[in-house]
Amino acid sequence: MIGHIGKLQHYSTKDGPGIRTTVFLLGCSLRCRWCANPEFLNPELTLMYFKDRCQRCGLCAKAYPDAITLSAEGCQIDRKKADANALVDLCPYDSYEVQGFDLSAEELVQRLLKDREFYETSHGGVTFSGGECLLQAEFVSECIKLLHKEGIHVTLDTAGNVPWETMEPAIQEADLILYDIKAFDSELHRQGTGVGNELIRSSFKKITELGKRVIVRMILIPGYNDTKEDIMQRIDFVSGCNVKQIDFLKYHILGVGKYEKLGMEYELKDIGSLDESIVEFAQLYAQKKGIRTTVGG
Amino acid sequence: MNNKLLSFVPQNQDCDFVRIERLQNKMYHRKATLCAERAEIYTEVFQNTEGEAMVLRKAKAFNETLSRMSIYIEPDSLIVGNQACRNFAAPIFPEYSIDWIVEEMDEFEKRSGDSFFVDEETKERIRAIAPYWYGKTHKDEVLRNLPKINRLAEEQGVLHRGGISMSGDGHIIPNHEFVFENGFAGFKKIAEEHLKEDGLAQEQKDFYESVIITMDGAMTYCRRFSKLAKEEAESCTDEKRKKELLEISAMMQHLSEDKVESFYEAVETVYLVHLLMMIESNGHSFSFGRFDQFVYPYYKKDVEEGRITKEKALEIITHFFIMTNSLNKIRPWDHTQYSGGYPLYSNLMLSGMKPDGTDGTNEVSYLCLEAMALNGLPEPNLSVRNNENTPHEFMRDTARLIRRGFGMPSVFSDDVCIPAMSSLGLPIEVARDYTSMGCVETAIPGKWNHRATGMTYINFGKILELVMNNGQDPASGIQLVQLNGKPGREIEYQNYEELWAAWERLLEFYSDLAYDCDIVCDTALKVYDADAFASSTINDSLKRGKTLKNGGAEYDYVSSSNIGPSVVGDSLAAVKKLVFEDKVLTLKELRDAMDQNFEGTEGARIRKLCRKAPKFGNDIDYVDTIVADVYESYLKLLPKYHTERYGKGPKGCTYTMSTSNITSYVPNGFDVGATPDGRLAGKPLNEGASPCLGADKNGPIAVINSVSKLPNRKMAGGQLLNMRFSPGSLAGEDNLEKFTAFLETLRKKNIFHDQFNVVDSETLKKAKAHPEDYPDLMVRVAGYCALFSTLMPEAQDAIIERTEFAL
Repeated sequence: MIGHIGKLQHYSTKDGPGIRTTVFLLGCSLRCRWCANPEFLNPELTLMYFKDRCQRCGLCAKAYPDAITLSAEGCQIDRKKADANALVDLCPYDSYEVQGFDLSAEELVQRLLKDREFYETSHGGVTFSGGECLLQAEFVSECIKLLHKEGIHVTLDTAGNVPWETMEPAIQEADLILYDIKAFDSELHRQGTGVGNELIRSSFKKITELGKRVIVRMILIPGYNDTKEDIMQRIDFVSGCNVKQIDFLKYHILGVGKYEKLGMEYELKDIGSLDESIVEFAQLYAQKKGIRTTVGG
Repeated sequence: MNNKLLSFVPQNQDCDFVRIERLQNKMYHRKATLCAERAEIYTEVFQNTEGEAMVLRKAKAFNETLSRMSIYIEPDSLIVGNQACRNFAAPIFPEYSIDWIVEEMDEFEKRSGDSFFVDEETKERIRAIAPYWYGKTHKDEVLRNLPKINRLAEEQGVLHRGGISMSGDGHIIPNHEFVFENGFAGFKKIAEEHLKEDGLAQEQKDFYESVIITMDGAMTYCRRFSKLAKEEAESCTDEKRKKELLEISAMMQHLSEDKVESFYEAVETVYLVHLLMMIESNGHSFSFGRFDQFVYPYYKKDVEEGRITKEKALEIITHFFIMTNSLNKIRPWDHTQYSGGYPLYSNLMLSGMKPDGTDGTNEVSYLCLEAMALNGLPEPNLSVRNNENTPHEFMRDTARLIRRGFGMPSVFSDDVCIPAMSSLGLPIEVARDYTSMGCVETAIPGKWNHRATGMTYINFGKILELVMNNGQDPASGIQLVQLNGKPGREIEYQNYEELWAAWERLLEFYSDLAYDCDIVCDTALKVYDADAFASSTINDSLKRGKTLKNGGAEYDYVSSSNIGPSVVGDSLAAVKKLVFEDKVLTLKELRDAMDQNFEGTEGARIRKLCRKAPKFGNDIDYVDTIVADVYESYLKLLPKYHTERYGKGPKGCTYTMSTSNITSYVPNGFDVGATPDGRLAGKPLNEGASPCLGADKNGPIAVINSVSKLPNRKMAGGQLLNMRFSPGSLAGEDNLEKFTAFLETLRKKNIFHDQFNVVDSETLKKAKAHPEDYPDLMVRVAGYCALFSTLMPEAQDAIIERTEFAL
């Protein structure tokens, strides 16, 4: 079984306990407007163009005149016509990159095992993230079986917008689930991510009913889901499902630079910064319900 | 609670933190100068002792210097003893070399790094004594004996004569237990007893007499301090300080006539012996060894018997640490580029396995970490050892200290270093007692001859360039070997095996020359570095009646310093893949592009192919095994080399390998043209065993995994790995715990040694632009730490370019 992988991140410290290797899988069923990893949204490889590296030599425009137009500003790319891999090979200055590669479950696990001593000493392991890792649930569940044979702890980082039948086998296998709940109100959810959250909420309930260890991750986006009302509703919902920990994730702009490189529009310009008091409010509210909280995971 | 402390919570006021800050501030704002006193006294004594044995002349000059030099007690300090007339003034050692001092005198303060400020009077005094020495120094002797071919190899940029060609050697770690048990008076007595023996050779008689003279000097020095402290006490109005000065006076009197009896005396003695060795000789890397192990019995006894508190012990250790920064050494500019940041490389090791195999971590180990947190200065060069029984709390405090961002301590793995030392044939209980000396060289304290590493530097990157050019250096045109039997640069390799054979051939050729250079230097040092005082502190000098360089030590090993194995491995891998396997380039196309420094679009195209080839540091077997081959190709040569002392008493007398090559990777890079790995001409080579700058793109674990494939258990001379983390990635308790686990895993991954910079690129760039705003920014250079502002710009850039792991 082959997996479409965006990136392996070794020595990950924010995706579960201990030192971990995070496997970012390609493809996502949400389109969050604040997404920090837009290069992993599509299941196929996405071309990135680094304008600052481009020397305006014109080699690519000469070779692919239909797809590339050179100007003093850099290259204008018609991404539908561009052959990503050919451009990556062609440019002498590494102005083009694609993120991603394919590996079989066995190959991936072999690579993950190279960090075994670090997992063991730190009580860490492997985390599958994305994109939405459960869009490749069958691949993930095969990897988990192989990793468990080696005694490696596995965490899934998911937003849950995947049919229950698809995700269940992987959920059953995993040791820990990091579950994103981005908004409680379904319409609000649709505005922010492109889809409603009925499936996400029902999957969440089923996961908790299985008795799985779950940490909920709640992102706080200024002006979108940082109202007390939505935060309280999210926490109430989670609290009803017997969850022990919530990680509040504060909106950050580290991924913004990628949008330009991908030829994508970043919609959340100038949204202002998060009110710190709302983070404190959220923590206190959750703690009152007996839920442990962290900021940043 | 002092917010600099790591985990220790003081229970009383015995440690004065305000005073520590004053002392520390003094050192942050220290100004490097020169002192002419030693040079003048040595000149006078040498003029009066013409015709006598060198060891005696040096002993007499040492004694005379200690009797007459200016002494002072640093206000606030509990530790006394000064190397020269002012704080951070470097003494001059004319018997080793003098020409460069006179020639560079007016340039010292204009240097781009390691500048020295010399007033006109001092300049005059040094110029006045210089003529006596011309033609009579160690350096003159080396140059008289250095074969012409070595000079040509140096002109090519392959070999670099190390500091020992013009200065003393240093690189020793006294047997402190032996020193404590005997004291200077005891040493004198031992020498006197030996002198009564029948059948002594003249050189033995000379040696014992010299020991007596040097110990007399040391005792005089102590008595002078005893007197000075008493005088200062009399006029001191602060009651606490007055009491301290009287205590110092009594202690110095006691140390002048007897053995060590308390913790305070033990620490003072460690400092005294250290600085006296640095008055006797201008070598560097005089190291402290396993400080926490040998002072612990005194600490324990004093604490148990109520003579000292833990807090007071912390204060004494901290003062000692800070005071080691008052010492200094000046080097000529070409050597300074190899070792930027005024380094003395005075290593101090904590924790680790005891000779009986149990773990040695004790209360002093923890206190030393705390003392370093309070000290925050480049010396001593703090290291810790880690094994499966090292307490987790100790490693967590270690991680806390590393996180402070000043690059210390570095971490050694017992699991790797002990087998490496055993590979020399040492008994296991001896190997377990290893310590670090200088930056990452390993040695057995109290038993080792001078010098583990870095006598003659071999520029591996340059050898690779010669391989690509039939043995001819493109820059100088010098050709010492014609690989294909024809003069000129043209050469074809049909396959990788031929290329590899050329590498092995040139490596052996230049290693032989480096060895010849070592022998020339060592032969001269036998005369000019005849150090009766320092030698007495090492087994078995007093027994044999010989200085170390003359064969006095119990063990004797040497290693050259090899610079750039990762550049070579990456380059060979690129040629192998691109030219011989994928055939996307011809050798000629590659070489033409290298000649043009990869300029132009075609050059950029080829450089891209080169850069895309597998690189060491990313856990890719293809290239990691080639880098390992490069190490093995040098290790294979070692059995043919023996040190100058072979057959003269010491055990061993063979060669080891080391990558502890300090900042040499920067100037060595200046000499090397563009390389097949895509590195541009003049850019730094790789540092130690670390990946090439910017080549490691897959995070710290991939680097560890790559380095773990090297023959680290054969690197008895020391293996250097340097990593940089962003401060944010280690912030908070959770990240601290993870980083601690990272440190604890190193030993399981076959990592000899690892050291860290925890500072972000932005800060470094700002500090480069505005050094005045960052007087206390300390960085890991290569096996040691230096204040960033004191480094030359190229070395600063190399640190900025090092991959920063932001997790």
